[in-house]
Amino acid sequence: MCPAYEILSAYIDGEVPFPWNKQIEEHLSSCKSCSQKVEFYRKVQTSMLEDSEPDYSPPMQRIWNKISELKQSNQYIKTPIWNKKISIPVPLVGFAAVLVIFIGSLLVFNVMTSDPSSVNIITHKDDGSMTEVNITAGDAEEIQALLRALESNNTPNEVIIQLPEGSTGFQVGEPELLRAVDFKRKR
Amino acid sequence: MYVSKDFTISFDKIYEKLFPLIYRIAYRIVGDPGIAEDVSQEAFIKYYERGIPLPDIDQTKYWLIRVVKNISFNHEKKKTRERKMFSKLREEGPKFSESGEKEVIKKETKKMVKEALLELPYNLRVVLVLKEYGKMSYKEIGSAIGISEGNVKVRVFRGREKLAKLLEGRI
Repeated sequence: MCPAYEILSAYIDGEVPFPWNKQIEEHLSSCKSCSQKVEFYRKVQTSMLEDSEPDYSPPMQRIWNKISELKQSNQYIKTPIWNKKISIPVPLVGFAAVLVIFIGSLLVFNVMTSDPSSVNIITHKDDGSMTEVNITAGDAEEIQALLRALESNNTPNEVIIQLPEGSTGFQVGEPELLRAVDFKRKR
Repeated sequence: MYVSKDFTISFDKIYEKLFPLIYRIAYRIVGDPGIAEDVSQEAFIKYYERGIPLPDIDQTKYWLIRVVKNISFNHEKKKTRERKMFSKLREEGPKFSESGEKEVIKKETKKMVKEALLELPYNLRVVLVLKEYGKMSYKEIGSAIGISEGNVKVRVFRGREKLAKLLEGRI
């Protein structure tokens, strides 16, 4: 049975999927009227494509000029910098992430292993005598020794903590005087 | 009018890429270089004034084709009236070339094809033009003008059949 001409038309457009296109191919080899129809459709197609067209470059240029005039009258809205899209290649992002992790860990490692500077703690007593303890930050034994020294003596009038030269400190919160009872409760 | 600078840059690229195709389609639908230029200009200005880029080049192409189709339709209505009035005046005598009669016949056939195409009903012509001159698949044509793939198939077939009838015995 011959396929509908509509299918033959779709066939020459390559719009008949496998395996039906193969079946049509087989049919065309044996059916003269169908193959003539296909031949004629192809002829129509070829003659349509053979027809010359006007050159598109001159109108393209003219229209371009007209649109350029439009562009000149156009006021650009400046995109705010925070709305600008930034594109960074993925490998670069990866590299940056690795770098941040590396530098970060290096800093943490440095802080943990850095050579602790010694701190001088001088206590003045009422009688004018003075005790000087030199401790190294992080050294538990020396801190224990200091605490023992402070405890063994009667409450000193003045305790001076001498930080090493060049060390910088920062203030955290306001100095506050607490009564012992409140202090305990807060703890 | 406010159009962002980013859009203007993307517009330039789209114009360069799609103008030849849009002009070609417009020319084949309306059959006249001057009108095709007007139609293309209107379509691209409409796109520029839209000011918002479409997701990709294909969507932009479909959008422009839809606009061209709609604008051409207005010209079509006008042209049908004029065609009836001036059809005899527009006929040109055959031009003889140096390569002889064969060349003349070929030229005449081409002119005939162009004329026959313009004889087709508008809906069939648009689809056949997109198929043959736009080199688009049935699926693409369907997306561009908003009809089903099956409908495209039917229209291409009917257009081809009509064109074949008009050209029968001459090609």
